[in-house]
Amino acid sequence: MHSSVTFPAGEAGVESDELEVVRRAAVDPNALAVLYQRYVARVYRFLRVRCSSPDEAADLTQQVFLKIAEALPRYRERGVPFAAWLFRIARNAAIDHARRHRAIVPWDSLTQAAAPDDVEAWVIDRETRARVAALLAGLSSDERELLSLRFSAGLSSREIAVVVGRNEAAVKKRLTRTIQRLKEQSNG
Amino acid sequence: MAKHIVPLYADLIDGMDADGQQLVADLHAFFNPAVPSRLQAALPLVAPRAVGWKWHWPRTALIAALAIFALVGATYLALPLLQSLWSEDRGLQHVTQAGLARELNLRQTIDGVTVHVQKGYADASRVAIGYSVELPPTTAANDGPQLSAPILTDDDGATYPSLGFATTNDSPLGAQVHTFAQRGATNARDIAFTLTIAELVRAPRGSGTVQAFRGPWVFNFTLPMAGARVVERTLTFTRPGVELTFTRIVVAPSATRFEYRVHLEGFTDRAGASLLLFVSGRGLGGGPPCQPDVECAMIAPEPLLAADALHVDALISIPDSEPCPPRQRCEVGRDGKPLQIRIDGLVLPLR
Repeated sequence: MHSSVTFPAGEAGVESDELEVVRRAAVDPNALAVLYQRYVARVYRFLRVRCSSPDEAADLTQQVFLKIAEALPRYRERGVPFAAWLFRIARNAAIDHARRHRAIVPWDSLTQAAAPDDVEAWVIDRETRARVAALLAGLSSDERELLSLRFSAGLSSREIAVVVGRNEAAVKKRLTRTIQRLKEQSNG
Repeated sequence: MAKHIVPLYADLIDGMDADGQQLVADLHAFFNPAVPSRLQAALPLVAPRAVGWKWHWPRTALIAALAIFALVGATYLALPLLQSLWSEDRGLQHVTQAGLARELNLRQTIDGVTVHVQKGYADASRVAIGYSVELPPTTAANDGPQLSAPILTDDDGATYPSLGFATTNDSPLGAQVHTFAQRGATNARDIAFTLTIAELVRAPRGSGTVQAFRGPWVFNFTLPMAGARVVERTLTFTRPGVELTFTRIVVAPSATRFEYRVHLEGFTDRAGASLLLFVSGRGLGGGPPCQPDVECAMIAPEPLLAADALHVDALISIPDSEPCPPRQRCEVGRDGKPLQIRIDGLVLPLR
């Protein structure tokens, strides 16, 4: 509802757009729409690697945004970046979803490419995705999650650390090592 | 490695050879599949309408309310729930105190779900409808806020766009107040409305699941539309590259509608422009995203009938058509021009 959208005096400036939008989104559908547009692609992509189909991931994405909207009035910054807070909710929803559905997500289900307007590019893209899927299949679920948070959700090591409850240095080290190992396997 | 993704992974590719950089590019491609268009177009679940709700009742008050509910039944409890929501809106609080809101008291039950339309109000800026909903009891994990996307039409066939809503949380018995934009005539008259609630949804709390209850619940009623004062004066305010023009201001008892357009010069690939107004740093309201040079409207839910003029600051948000990439802070658009323009110290006549 548009009413009662109240900013404390002096905080309505342009310096911190994200926080301003987050505060407004708790009470203002337009601001909630802005947050949705900013994060929906990242949330979908993060969930897509945990779901067996695009439709399932899209449905779960919508449920996650319902939960985010419901929880927004309780968000307090306190050193927790908003993106990390949001993806913590998405991660918990994904874990709950996996418990309920017990679905095994085949990594090669993510290798579909776009319609082949350019057949040569499509073949190369498909082969690349299949190769990456094969490499990822050899990782632990923790390692895949870190990569997903980094590459799908676009989070920094600090934000990932908040999401998974570890320290930043450990996250950074593990990400680097995982990618190094993938590189060695890829070359080997 | 494509140049546009280099900044995204600077911390990972620093010191990497070409093979390592290629792997990072391949991982980026793998983890960033296309997003279904249905997600890009709409807000979740109750799309295409905007969704918003507020937490108004502390948990202890709700527990106490539920205990009373068990003793005295639903009807007596729904009233304070709704009144609490209704009074959160300063404009609606004002019209209620002025005796302009009408008690409707219409009730319909379908498959054990009862909707009780209690209150309505209409003026030349907006229409507000308040109703309570009794849903079947459920588990704590499933007991989240009630949502619905009612459609309001009138006897002339007009459909009133949603302005948003407020709802209570955490109870089989909840209340909702929905507001709708009114853009028709500004003279006082009676309007025959139909409110259709096709579906009621209970959002989950924690790890629960979304529950949907199918209707439709349909209500017919007449509300007296309060008249408005219309200020037909063109006022233009400019900043480099931006021209904000107010074309009409409709001052009604519950809210004031500002009709305006934004003209942009030299901005490219922008998603549109939206207007926010502030009074002494307090947000007065914001308009939905609007295209340049198109007549738009924003509604401030404030009782301003007694005022002669309004002193406001305006913030015009002009986002890029492509959202800011993850982990980047976008201070300006891709055309190098600002994403927000502020125009302070506007004086808008209300008479």
